[in-house]
Amino acid sequence: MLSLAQQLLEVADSSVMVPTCRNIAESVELNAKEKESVMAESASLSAQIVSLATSLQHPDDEPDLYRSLAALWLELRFAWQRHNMVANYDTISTGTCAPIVLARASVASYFLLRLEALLTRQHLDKLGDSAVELLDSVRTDVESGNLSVAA
Amino acid sequence: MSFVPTQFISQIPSIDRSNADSQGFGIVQVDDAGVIKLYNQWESEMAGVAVSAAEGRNFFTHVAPCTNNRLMFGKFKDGVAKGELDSEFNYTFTYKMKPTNVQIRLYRHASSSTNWVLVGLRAA
Repeated sequence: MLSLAQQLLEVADSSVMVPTCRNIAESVELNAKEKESVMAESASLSAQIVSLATSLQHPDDEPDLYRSLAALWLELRFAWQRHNMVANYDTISTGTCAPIVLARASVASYFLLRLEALLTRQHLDKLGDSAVELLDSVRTDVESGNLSVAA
Repeated sequence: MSFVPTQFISQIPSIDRSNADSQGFGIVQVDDAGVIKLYNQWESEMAGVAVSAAEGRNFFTHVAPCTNNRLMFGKFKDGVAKGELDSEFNYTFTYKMKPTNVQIRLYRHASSSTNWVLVGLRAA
């Protein structure tokens, strides 16, 4: 059976990630520079995941590797959420949005999907619930006027 | 002109699963908190979420987290609070899918107090 680190290396396998990210980039109208930028960001993220798997590959490292995977899932979920906000606020206010934002959002969520294969359903539900509750509590504070921004 | 046929709206709230599955657009019936009561086949295929994995969960926070904002969930909550909701607007889905441009119609049927999220594809 493959170790968690080995499975993570498979998840970040560039021979799988690169064509899929290219398909996403080609599904919207990007100019050459934007497309290159999306592909470079995807390659960078893949390389960072490989680095994580390589650095924490000893069996004793597995708890910390799993914890790091959970943290990475949250990072990507929040990054996707930010792109989604930009895309839809622009869509509502102007009728359209920058295609590169859509491409970045889809790429982030594709990485999420790949990582989810290594996290238990129970932990994914817990992470998802925590992400929602954390940000909803902030939103509630803002909406109720309980906000004091540090100068 | 709405992507939702007037005839469909006139059939609410007596839309059953078979009727919903025969429509060429997404149909999600939710309770006042946003928990899914009915999730049709079109929506399931478009979102890549099994009907069994969607029904019983909150649409806005868990099944379609891209809708958890003022634009969509906020509008829904306002409509439920006022007992009146019929709003159609453009939106974009990107969660675990290629960017997909859609039209959304949020509709509350006042006399039955049922809520409907209707989803249609649109050209970019």
